[in-house]
Amino acid sequence: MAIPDLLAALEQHQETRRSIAHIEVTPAREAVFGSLVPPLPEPLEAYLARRRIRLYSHQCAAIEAIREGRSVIMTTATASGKSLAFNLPVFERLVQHPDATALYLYPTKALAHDQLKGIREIEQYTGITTGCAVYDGDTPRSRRPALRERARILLSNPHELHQILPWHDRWRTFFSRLRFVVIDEAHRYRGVFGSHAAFLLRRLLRIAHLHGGTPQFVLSTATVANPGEFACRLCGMPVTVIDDDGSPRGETQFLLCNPYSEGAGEGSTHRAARDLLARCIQHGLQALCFTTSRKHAELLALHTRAALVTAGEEGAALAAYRAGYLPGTRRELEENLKCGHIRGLVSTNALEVGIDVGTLDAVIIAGYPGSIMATRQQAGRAGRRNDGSFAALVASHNPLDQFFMHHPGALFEGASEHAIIDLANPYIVAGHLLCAAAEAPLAAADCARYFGDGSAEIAGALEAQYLLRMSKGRWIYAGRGRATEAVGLGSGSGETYRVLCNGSVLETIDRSQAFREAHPGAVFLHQGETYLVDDLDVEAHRIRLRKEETDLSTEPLTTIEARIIAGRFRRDAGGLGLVFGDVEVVEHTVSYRIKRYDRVIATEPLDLPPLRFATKGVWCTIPETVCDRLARAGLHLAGGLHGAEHALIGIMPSLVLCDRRDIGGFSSSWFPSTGSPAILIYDGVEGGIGLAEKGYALFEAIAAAALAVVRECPCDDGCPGCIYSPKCGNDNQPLDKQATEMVLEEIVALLAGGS
Amino acid sequence: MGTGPLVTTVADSWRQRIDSQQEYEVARDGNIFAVGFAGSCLFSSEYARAVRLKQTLAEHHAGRTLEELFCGAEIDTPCGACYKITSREQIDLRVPDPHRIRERLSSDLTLVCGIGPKIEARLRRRGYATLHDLCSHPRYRAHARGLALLDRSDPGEMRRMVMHRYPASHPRLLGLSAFHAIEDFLFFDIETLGLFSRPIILFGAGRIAGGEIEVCQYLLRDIAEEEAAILATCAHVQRDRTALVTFNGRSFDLPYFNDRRAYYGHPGVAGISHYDLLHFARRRWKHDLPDCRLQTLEHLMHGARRTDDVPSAMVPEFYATYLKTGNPGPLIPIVEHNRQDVVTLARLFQRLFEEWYGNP
Repeated sequence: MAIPDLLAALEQHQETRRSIAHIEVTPAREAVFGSLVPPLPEPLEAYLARRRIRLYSHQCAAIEAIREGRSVIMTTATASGKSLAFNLPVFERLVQHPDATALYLYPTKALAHDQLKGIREIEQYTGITTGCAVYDGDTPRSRRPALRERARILLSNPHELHQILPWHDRWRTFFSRLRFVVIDEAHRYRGVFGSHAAFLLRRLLRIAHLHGGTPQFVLSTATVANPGEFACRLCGMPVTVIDDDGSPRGETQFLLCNPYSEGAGEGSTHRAARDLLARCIQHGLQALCFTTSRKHAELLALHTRAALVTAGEEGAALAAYRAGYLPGTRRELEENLKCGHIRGLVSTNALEVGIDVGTLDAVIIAGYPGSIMATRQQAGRAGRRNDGSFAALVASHNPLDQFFMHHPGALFEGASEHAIIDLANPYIVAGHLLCAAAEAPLAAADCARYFGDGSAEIAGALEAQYLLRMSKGRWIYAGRGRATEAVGLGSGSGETYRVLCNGSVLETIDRSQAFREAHPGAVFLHQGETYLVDDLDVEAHRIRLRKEETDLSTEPLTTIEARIIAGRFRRDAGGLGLVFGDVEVVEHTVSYRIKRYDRVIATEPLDLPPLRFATKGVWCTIPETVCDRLARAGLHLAGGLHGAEHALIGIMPSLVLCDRRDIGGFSSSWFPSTGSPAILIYDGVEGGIGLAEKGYALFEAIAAAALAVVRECPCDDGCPGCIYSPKCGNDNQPLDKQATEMVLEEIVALLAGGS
Repeated sequence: MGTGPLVTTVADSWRQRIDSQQEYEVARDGNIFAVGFAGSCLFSSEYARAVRLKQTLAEHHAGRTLEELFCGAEIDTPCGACYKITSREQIDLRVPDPHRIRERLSSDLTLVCGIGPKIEARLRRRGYATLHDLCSHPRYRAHARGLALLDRSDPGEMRRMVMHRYPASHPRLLGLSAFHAIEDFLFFDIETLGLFSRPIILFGAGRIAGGEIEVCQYLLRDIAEEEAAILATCAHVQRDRTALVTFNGRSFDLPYFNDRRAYYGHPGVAGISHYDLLHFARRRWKHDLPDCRLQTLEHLMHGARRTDDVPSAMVPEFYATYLKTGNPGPLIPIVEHNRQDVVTLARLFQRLFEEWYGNP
């Protein structure tokens, strides 16, 4: 009865009681079982019997579809046994065809390692040998040839596959027998990354076909609004959707906790999350806490541990877990969590991806993670036991989080986001054509079959640029260096910094993290321990720390500026200018604050080079007349521009086919580069990837759609449905819904009149 | 999908991105630590010299065609045409006397598993002088009988047996070359556009005939000719007779060549005898020379240094200039470098025999 006790305890505590905005109770659900005709091969049936597993209806449906040779996508809840539902038919096929191989792709290395254990377990129980192993960047060179030759199940990630494909000849055996490509956490492949993944899979398919392999796809995903369409775009073939969930669930208490229920007073997200986490552990619940940044994860672990010690809880094992930790450390933490040595874990979304941690009773989400999809998935980590579970979302002090506190229905009843993949982005298509041509000579027929209708035309253009050459009617790669290196899969700057203490590597972090969190003088957190940064060597990509016990923390002060470099296309309409061109986003960490808890003790200047990020953008300059009209109506110009920027960014992904994370924006009532008020939207990928360019072409439609969304939204002062953005750098301030509507109206009218 | 102008813009932006990939780094002169490990790092003076060379060559040969500059002929293969350049140079290559090698092998008791120098000495004291003698030894006879047939096996089989007991750099392995006919050696070296997965633009294959080495070079007039050049090169290989002689070919030239064959869907060249002189040279000279690069060894043998050479890392750049402008000038040092490497291979082979087996 730990959960009712916990809730009672929360009710008794005055401050906590005030902060409870809502409790959503999801009732328990009975299991619906299914059966298979014919049954699975004997060793697999015996395995299920010994583990006392009865298959749920959705697992049977998936297995039957896979048996028929169809590709499937499973969208059932977290912990509904999706892994088993694809492992069983894969093993069945491996029994029937002793040659067959399967490739499992996971979005992260950690996840692949974790899932390996589950597969090994089946292998050991059943005696069906698959030689399964992880094959990724960490795999020692000496082990690789044997794995390629002998393993029948390999687990990897898209980045590794991207590197593997050019060496397909060495993979001949594996690819020629490839029957399954299993893609776990498929929802992570959306937006620009999704488009890259889609073409990566088409390259895989072409290479498999070349060697005689004919794989079918098996996908599993968190809830998305459009699973069938999404899966079909991702793997390029029709996919059957399995969504009728037969798994049982215990009752879930989902608490919405608002530390700012009485305004920005005493409460804080951090403190509320700390208290909730400590209470869960005190009540004997194993708890997982998600934070929005790695630094918060470290701090929260540190402070919760302190709170537990103060409360007399000795040795309640609590750890931080986040991306950037070395593989060994991560795996050790995962192990300890599973076997119960660790009672609480504070994590960034590195853990969000379905690591099966087994016995979690409670989940605390400190700050809205940016999408309904992610919120549901994180909360889904609680409730693996049938005897009930507890989840809590602790709001931050920004309008978006506050909106959900006041409108819980939007979180619990609304649909998830759409997972969008664009298969016609010529930049992405071109990049993968180059990779494909570097893997094996590329015929025009290959283009049409794998890379879409217009791809042969793009290949022709690449030939004209001497990047491809025609040899015996097939294109071969003729550019410099390695195509896979130039193309990348569109995530991260690729530059990593090593964090060293006494000469050994603690972890690796990316460039912008390094500048924000590991500048000279910064207090750096690792595993709840504090370190002081001595030196940040930009050239050697190296950060040197020394261990230093301190209760201080540091906070960088970073300015972000967008600068226009040059326009490429322009059209004008009644004083409004719409331009597409090159922009530069400059992030400059100019100084940092030294804090003891929440109190600022000092501010120190920093001498770091600004981080420049060159990309493409579309910007719209607002004429004086519009400003006047807003002023006459007594409306706030900056709030209107900012709101319009958010509304445009909110609707743009559905029209240019990307994810919201792929684009960024900037608005100002006086933009230095244009000398006027302006709204800028830019590609989040270095160098640009064609999103703003498409946005420029479709700007009328985007503006009209944004206006319709704002105008038709029933909210009073803005909400996530219209002008609140989950990734706003200014905490969604200032925003003015009325002014937003007016700005958008003017843009739409001017563009209509001008053309 | 996109219409004309957009597609052109896209292709252009990829062109810029791909061209900006660095293929080598230029290090301050004297900074040997930067250059030490990777071959893709140049000293700045070396770099400056090469850039000047490329310019001079381009100016000097403007308006000329490749065929005018390199005396050769177009040849046909089942996969299209390519350009063949042939040259000859005098050489006096003589392999060690096979009888002597055979004697050495058959009296080497350490070829038998379980016998090291100490046991060998003890066995000799007890009258076991050859592998034949060991065939009657109660403990070693089983294995010795297998080896006793050594002198009747083909070089490849012998090589496998010797490899079991000796490192790849051991003189014993070099000695096995005595069992090949001298015209079966193929001195092989390639010039590539990178360290992996890029076209091979020049294939050099040398063969000894009548006191001369004949070097056949297959040069790509366009990258599209690579498959043809690969086939033409393979025509020099006869699986059961040819013995490859390379410098670092075990880890570079041969796997690279096979990767390019695989790219075009041809099976790799495997199972032929291969003498990689880098290993032997390292064993012999690593204490006497600052490094064991082919050109350092060349200097050791002739005392001369190459002039107007192109650093390997800059071969792609020189070739790209030719492709872009059609001016064959920058190809001169590439072709010459490759030809010289092939000839040097043969001379180094000879020198190693002399070092280890005396003047044959």
